[in-house]
Amino acid sequence: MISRRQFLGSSAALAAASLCGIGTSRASVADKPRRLITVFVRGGWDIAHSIDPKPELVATPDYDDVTMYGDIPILTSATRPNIGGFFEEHGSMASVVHGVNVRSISHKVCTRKMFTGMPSGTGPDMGAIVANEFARDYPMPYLIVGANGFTGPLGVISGRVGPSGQINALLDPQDNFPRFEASPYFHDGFEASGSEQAAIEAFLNARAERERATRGMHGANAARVSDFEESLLKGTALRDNAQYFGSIGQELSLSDQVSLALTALERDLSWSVSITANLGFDTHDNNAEQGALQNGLFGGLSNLANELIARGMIDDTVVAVFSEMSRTPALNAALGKDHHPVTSAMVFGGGVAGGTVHGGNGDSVNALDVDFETGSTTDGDLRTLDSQSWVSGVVALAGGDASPYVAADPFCAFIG
Amino acid sequence: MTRTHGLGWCMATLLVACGGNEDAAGSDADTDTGFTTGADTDAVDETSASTTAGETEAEDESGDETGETEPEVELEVLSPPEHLIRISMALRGTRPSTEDLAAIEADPDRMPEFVDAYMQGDGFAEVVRDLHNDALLTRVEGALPNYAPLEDVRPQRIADSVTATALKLAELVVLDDRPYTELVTGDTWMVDDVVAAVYGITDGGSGWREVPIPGDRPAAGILSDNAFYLRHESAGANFHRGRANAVSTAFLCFDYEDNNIELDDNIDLTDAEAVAMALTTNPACQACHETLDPLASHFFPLPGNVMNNDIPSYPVPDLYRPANADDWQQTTGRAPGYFGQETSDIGELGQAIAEDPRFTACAARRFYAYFLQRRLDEVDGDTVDALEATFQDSGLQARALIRAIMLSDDFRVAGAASAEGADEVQGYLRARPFQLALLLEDLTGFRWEIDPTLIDPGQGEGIIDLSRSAAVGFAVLGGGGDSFTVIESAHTMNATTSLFIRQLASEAASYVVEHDLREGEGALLTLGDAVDEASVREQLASLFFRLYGEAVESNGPDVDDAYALFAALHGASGDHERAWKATLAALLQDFSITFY
Repeated sequence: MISRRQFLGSSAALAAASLCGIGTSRASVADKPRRLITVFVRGGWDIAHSIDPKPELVATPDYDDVTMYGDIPILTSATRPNIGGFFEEHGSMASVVHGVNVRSISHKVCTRKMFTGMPSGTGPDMGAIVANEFARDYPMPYLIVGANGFTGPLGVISGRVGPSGQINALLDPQDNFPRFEASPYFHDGFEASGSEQAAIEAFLNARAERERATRGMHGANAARVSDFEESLLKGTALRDNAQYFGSIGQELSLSDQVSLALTALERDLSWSVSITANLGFDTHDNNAEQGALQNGLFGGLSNLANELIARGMIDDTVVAVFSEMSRTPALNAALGKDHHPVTSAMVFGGGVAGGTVHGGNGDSVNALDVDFETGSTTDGDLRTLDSQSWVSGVVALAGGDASPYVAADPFCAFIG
Repeated sequence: MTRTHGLGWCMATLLVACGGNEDAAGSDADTDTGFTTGADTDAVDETSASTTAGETEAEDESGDETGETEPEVELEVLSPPEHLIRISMALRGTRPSTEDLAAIEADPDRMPEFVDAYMQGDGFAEVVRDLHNDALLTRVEGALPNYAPLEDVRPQRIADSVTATALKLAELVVLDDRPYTELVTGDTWMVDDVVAAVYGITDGGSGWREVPIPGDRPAAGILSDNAFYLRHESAGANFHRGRANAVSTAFLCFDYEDNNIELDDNIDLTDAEAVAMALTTNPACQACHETLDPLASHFFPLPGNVMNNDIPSYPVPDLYRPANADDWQQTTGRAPGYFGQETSDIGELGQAIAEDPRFTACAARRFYAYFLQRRLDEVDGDTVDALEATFQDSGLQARALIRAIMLSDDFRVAGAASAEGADEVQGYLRARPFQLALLLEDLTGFRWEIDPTLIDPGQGEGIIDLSRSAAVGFAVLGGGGDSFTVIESAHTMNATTSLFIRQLASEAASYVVEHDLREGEGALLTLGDAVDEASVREQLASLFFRLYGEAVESNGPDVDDAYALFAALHGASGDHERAWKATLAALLQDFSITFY
């Protein structure tokens, strides 16, 4: 008997093979489906401070050197040890890609592009695509624990925890928003028992099926009815796992998000998770803050990588780290840097061609054309690497196929 | 399902050309049905099985630019009562009264009369604010200091009021039937007691009210209002370009950010002077900056960060500083201007926008997109043209525009008659969280609120509505937005929206059962403690009509299912109150509650 996961593995490998590695000497094909964690560095990071070391563009004296980790050059400093520390520990399973041409300097548009490959934001992002392909029957296949995530037509498989973990108030309402007799809307409350909830859901499903038999027979209408029924199932499944979602409170820190993400993946609640590193990277004023910010970011990434290793999940998980844009080469009058439409990104984890760097940014952080299979900027089929190919590439790295949603060849060079 | 009102849900069909969606990403709202404005609605023969292709305007426009004919899709439309329910939900978030449903069934020609009647009241006002927030994105939850005289008010409540002013102004323009151009030319502010205290307005009024714009600020409607600039801050070195694009996007439906940026390798991006020079000389840069920068130059009198944490006390000093108006000379070097037209300040900017044909076309596009739950770019040009003509004919009264949409064939689409082309026909509209809150309050009298003073008296006065709050409550998890990280509402269901509706329904059911059965107030339940089958069935049939607008027989199959649910629950617990709570919780989270 073939297991579900084995079946998925074989079908996914076929999908990936159709996109990467065909007709070349390099076989850039994901060997199996992998879970996907996206870490979105919100605000626009200055890559010159870390993964695209350009000391002359940092304009602050707090760096020591450019250090090589495998083939990856990184700007390191004793004042920001976490950056070098991450690559020291995990550089062998990390790959950096330069020259991603986002073609916009708008937070909104760039964010959409780097998540979905498309500017409209109506398509699903990487996490949603992969989760839909491999784990549609999970309680919440795509879990958005940070601020950002795009679900497009895959909304039914996705869900948010809320900026302050409000999902907990839906999973266990009595513990979170108590009722007070002084309220004009006070009541004793009603919480359905298991059998009552089952009866309620049976009634709702029967009603939905009646709807399907009339207006809901075809196309988009039928999809809405199906989404309604599926959401009931998933909602109940989530409530059965309420204990894993922490508690309601203040804004989730990067560490909180990592913890929740790992639990959701480990417990098969979700296949993909979106995390947002909301640390204040939009440094129009005082760009020197990027050093400390990136030190915090890479500290969080080390924590994530260490936890994936400790839980035995690293080989089954891909982590994609990206920002919506980078920052201008030059400082502005406020000693900050403004938005720049070319950026770099990083992947690490299972299936990654570790210790490698691909593509390139020119001296003024302009995107160099690149061969999608080898990552070379000098030889091969040199093409512009845009956000569509970045998204397609990450999906392929996770063993998936983005082609139903993104019409672009995937960037495959970081697949090991 | 037994539907005895009207002629049933499939009594009429339309044939329209259905444009394909070329977005490979797909969408959950990809309907393109063509458009027939309100006056033509009655041309659809309610008694016929279908209309001919020539009966819709879209048929005449079915060829695309390549000369190819798009496939026709046969559509089914709502019956008059169903249409009335959709109109009522869209305009005010509630169901029509049983009397209205009976009246429209007897005389479908009264539909325009009901549309006008529903464009009144608090529910419609909230819809108008929500519609405009999709454009302005000013409804952002935050906190402002509770300095004197607001020391007894929660900081979040202060921010709620201060950020609400622009949307309240839009509400005033629409509900007062003022020319829609007052949105950008009006000479008043909207304030409540909190806003008045923050800005030092001493008009002696109370509640939300209209006051003259204070200080030297030119009259420019929302462009004179601090809420717009509070939301759309300007990074110091970007010289208000972000604000300029926010204005262009909101009022002209022209988003500079839709343009791809191709870096010119000949520009030394490490040289700030070279970059600045390129903005005025390089064609690739000029394409946007030629018009964007002059737009931005109108905003130099306003600080980039309107209200930061450095506020020392209330009232805050006037944020509009005409002395800074010429700062563009030291920055971009481009004088204020409107797409080649000379303008000097935000007053003239507002006037120029009001006179721009794109302003009215954008309004038509936005209103249609909002009510039909489409993206702006999914609204075809013919639809915009037809709506804009109606809008112009009315003297730019927004309610006339809304009326045309409500009475259009597009707004009556129930679904596709067959599988062919059905993927692009969206026959269900999804209630946003605030609409569900309005609906359940209307049906049960319940509001899902928390009063923080009951938890911690030190926080100051201020109720939090859990269905409407994104920061504390469930607006985002329920499928709405927060105007910042989530700026588009969901059009379908997922696990968290299901849980939100489940909990909201359970709370409302519990509340109304206790009130109706214990106190005999009878808002929804009128049978008292009777549990005999006949009484329960009659009650359920009554609920189907009130909740869903479905006139069903008490011994019909719908009531069979509902009665079986009640009987099973009652049999298990022996508690008729609990059985009604569970039954009502089920009825209130039904598909017909979530979608309309």
